Amino acid sequence: MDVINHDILIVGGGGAGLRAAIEISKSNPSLKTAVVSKVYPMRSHTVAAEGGSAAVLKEDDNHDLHAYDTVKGSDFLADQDAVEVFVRDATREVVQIERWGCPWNREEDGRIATRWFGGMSRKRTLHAADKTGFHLLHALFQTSLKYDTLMRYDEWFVAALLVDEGKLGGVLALDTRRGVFSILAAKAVILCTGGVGRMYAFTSNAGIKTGDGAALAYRAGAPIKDMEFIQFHPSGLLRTGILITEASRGEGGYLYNKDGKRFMENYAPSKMELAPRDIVSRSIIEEVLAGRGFEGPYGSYVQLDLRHLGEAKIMEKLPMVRELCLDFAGMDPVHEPIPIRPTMHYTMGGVHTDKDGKTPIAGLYAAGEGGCVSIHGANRLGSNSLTELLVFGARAGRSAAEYVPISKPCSSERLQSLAKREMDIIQKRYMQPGNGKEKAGAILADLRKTMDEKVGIYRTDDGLKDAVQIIQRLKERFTGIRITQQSKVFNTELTGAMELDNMLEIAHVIAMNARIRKESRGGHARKDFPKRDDEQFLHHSLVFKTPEGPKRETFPVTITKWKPEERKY
Amino acid sequence: MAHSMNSISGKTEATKTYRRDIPNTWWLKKGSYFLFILREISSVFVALYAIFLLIQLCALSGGQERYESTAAVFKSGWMIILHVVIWVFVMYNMVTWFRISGRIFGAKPLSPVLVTISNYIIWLIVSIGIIFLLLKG
Amino acid sequence: MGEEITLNITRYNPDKDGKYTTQRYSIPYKNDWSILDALNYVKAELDGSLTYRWSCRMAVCGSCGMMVNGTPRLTCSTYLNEFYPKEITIEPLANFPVIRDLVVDINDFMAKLKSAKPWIIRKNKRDEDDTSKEYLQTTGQMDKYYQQTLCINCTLCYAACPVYGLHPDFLGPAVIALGHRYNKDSRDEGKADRREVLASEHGVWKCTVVGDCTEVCPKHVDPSAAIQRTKVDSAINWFFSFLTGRK
Repeated sequence: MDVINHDILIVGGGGAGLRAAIEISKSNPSLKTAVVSKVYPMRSHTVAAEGGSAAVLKEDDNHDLHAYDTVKGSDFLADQDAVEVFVRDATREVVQIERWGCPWNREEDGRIATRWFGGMSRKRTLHAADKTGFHLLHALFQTSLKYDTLMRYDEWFVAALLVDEGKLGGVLALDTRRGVFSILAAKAVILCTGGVGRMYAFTSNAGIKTGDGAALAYRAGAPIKDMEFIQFHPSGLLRTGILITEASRGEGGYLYNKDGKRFMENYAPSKMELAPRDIVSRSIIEEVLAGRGFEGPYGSYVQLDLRHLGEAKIMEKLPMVRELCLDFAGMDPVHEPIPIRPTMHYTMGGVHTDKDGKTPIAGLYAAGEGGCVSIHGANRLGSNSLTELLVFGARAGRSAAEYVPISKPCSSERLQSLAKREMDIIQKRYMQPGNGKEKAGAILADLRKTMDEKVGIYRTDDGLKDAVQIIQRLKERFTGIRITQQSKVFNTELTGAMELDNMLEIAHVIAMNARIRKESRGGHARKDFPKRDDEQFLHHSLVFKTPEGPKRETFPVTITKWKPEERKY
Repeated sequence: MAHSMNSISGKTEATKTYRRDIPNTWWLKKGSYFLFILREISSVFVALYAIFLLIQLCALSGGQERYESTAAVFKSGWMIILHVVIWVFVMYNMVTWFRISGRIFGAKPLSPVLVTISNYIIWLIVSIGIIFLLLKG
Repeated sequence: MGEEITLNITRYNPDKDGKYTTQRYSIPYKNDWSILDALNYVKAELDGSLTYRWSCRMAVCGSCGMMVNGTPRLTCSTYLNEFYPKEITIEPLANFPVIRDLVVDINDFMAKLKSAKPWIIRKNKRDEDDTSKEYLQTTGQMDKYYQQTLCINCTLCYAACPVYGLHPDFLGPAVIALGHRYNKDSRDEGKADRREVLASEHGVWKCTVVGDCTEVCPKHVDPSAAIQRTKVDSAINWFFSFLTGRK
């Protein structure tokens, strides 16, 4: 098999991946660096983020406040030393991206403007209209074009990490255009592949969010952390689950139930609509269960009313919200309230890393939504994620670049034999003529339904037990998967099947973790254990892949300044 | 043509991609393309009109006899028909040009409509001025 | 209820027979389905080999551009009910080489994008990475370039542009619009650096103002206006450099 040598590979070309790439190219242009992405970088899901990016910029704000908001938002599961580093780097990073062209909204005096956001005690969320992720991603991508030495493998799918006894040697990747597998050797690999949204039926996430990085790391022997913590964003557009940004509430939007009441008064009387996402999502579900939700052909929902903001404000601050409602819900939020319900949105968990993106495997790093430092703990505050991409993308890039000169490359023979082992599995599973009978689409549909129903906002022991069993059966069905065509050129059935494999692997861990964690914390809510239990569960869930199945360990939470307290808004 | 140095995908031997030929009748396939070609052709008529104007000017400077024989040609039936056709195309050229200049120069704080209407107003003033001169003389 | 709609979809597989053909599919008609929903149905239920790009399904990633009844559209936000009960023809984006079925090769666009230097250029390089404070920019200054920042790189404009179809060396609407975006950004000082490419014979001067790029742009970037304004800038600059003898 062809071997192409590199110093650093970055898997995933979204916000974190591009930020890491720029950091390396800027400071170490002599390093042979490449971004490997299964889509062109402009298509990465960062592009869909809307609300904003939080950082301490204003005089009335300070880093301790941002850190405390984040730690409290995380239901005290975040590692506080990492959070402190995060909020400090954040100030620098958001100015850096402005220097690289990001069109942040401005105050009258030309300085960067900020808005209110859920769970934040100060107005610290920078924003570019309500297309912040779009503007960030394009600013990063266009800036990355500056560096002639930065290579890209556009539409190459990473099928496996090649790890030789705890040390990374490279990746096995498929050039989807030609249908050819190659070994991309590297001294360091940074996984920036995002979360797992597509395993849920109702999600804000794009089709490409299939948890590839977590699965790659997991199979290679790296642990994945806190997978049970899934964030459901309160305002997903009815029918599609498309995101309606939290900024719509940040700019003053109200949530109403069937009786025309702003029901958040009963659940978070102080913060109201701007309570953290897990609390608002649960509140909506409670209203619906109590019969106070609206019913329609697409299910139950509540209303997000922006009418009182006026057309001018909506067009200035929330133009994308209006576009989305017109294009995908056939209604105009200037004149009608928006029908919304909670949608699967973000994966707090991911590949276990330290503050510098380092995993326990030498040479393997992770950053962005696909990594778990952890700064979000059990629940992420809105607008901390875009900042996370910049902060930890840069940090992972830096630490990978520092590691390269002291790393020892893997021998070519060893890489070939590791790659051959992976190819044998791929060939056996996907490339036998007349293989299996199972349709990938059917297995995926069953997985998505199961996750929605049994590993959703509210979980129970029975539901989770069923979920684990169903997922195990789906994994068995998957071994008999049928790829209808063996064409090499752009075989999306093949890549789709590999993505499904990744999702099944991770879904199993999520369901298992959720069952073991007998408490409610942040985004993980148990009907049978409704209280937070710091005594038994103030720890991270670390899961390793073993021949016997997933093995769970605990990992301590680092507490520096803020002792866990009751989380009320 | 600029070549990207970054993209590996842009450099590897691609499998056989399919290139679709563009037929010579491409401009008949879509309304907007047809109108575009019409607009481009209108410039021929604008040029033709300019040439006619030059011929008449030359004739004017060539003395009474020369002028009258030229004028006779221009008063003939087929010349008048031709001039009507020219006028339609020149009008089309003008209308499309006014619309486009609105789009080009109508950035904030102006607006496309403002710029286009200003053009029409100027045209109106100049046209009235010329008609006035002609009628007076 | 049994209502159905027919899709005529382009098929091309260089690995199989290399024939460029059309295949008819009859699918159930759902009033709220987009073309993308229909394609996903075909792939999941009828023909797993159907190949196309998609991702966000909310018209912001730019992946799903295809020709729908001869017009370049984003299939995630184009609905069956716009055409029902008539048949719908779905073809790969025009003016690009076809890799497979509905997937086209956009690497030409990617290369041209880089050539236009779409990034902030400062005379003092140190400005670019100075994080002590932001550049000041008012909303009025931002208005001058903001519209062109909205480009999602979907390349529908290239599919609509007959000049690009006939002269593939043309830089194209989106690339010029993005070059213009940076030229008009008050924080940028790189107009001269972009001039060679933008004002070349393959750049703005190849545009004959057909205007279809602006018509099909799903994000109202108005690339045509950006191109014509760049022509004006370029002409003025040439005139002054001619006068002063400076470049």
